[in-house]
Amino acid sequence: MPIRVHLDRVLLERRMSLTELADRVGVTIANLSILKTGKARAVRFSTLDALCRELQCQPGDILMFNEGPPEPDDGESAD
Amino acid sequence: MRTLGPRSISSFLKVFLDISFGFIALFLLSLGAIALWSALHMANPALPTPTWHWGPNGPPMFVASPRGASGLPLFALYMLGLLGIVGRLRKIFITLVAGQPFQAENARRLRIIGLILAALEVSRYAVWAILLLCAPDSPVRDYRPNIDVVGLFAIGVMFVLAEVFDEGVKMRKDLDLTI
Repeated sequence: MPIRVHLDRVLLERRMSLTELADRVGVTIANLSILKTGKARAVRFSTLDALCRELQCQPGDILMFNEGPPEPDDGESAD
Repeated sequence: MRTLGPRSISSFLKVFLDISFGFIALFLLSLGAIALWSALHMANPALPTPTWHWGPNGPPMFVASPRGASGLPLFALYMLGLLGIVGRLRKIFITLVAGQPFQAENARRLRIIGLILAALEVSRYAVWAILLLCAPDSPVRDYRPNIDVVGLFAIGVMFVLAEVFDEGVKMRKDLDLTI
């Protein structure tokens, strides 16, 4: 996916663990881990809002767009 | 009343399907027992002849003759088809009661139900044609199997529902990976 998630970098800068962030944001550690590893399909604005508030950052600090072809979904082919 | 989950309409319908499945399975076992007894009786006519009657004063019904017993396997196949349909519907309703209807297996089950319905529909014409060939002077020659439009629509609906469930699986996967 061309959208890269740099949550681990921001966590390191804020010296915060994933567990602590999960408790503050109200998202499970499993879901945050899915987001951190780039496996998430979508992020709700409410979640992004909570992340930015707790990490004191902008959405662009967590999410970055890299030019490239989109990865095909399951059962679909990339044209 | 809720649609999904425990104590919902789905759970009530599942109970109905469980009972139907049990009755059809029992009926098939009875057919198997009658077929076995017919075969034994044809091999050894000295065996006692159990007779069943249609109602308390009705005519006797017995299938120990070769012609009568030949119909049993066809009827049993038909009932097996019904059992296959009811069994798969039961499994779909189990997922409905669990609140997780959009699973890939449900789409596959619906397609199989559609195929069984199509096979049962085709078998009506096939059996009629075979009987006409084997017994042209029998009353079968005056029977014309009609085109069951409702049955054909049901087959189409099954395949369309299977596609809907496939899309539901994709949407559920997206939702699961939405943070």
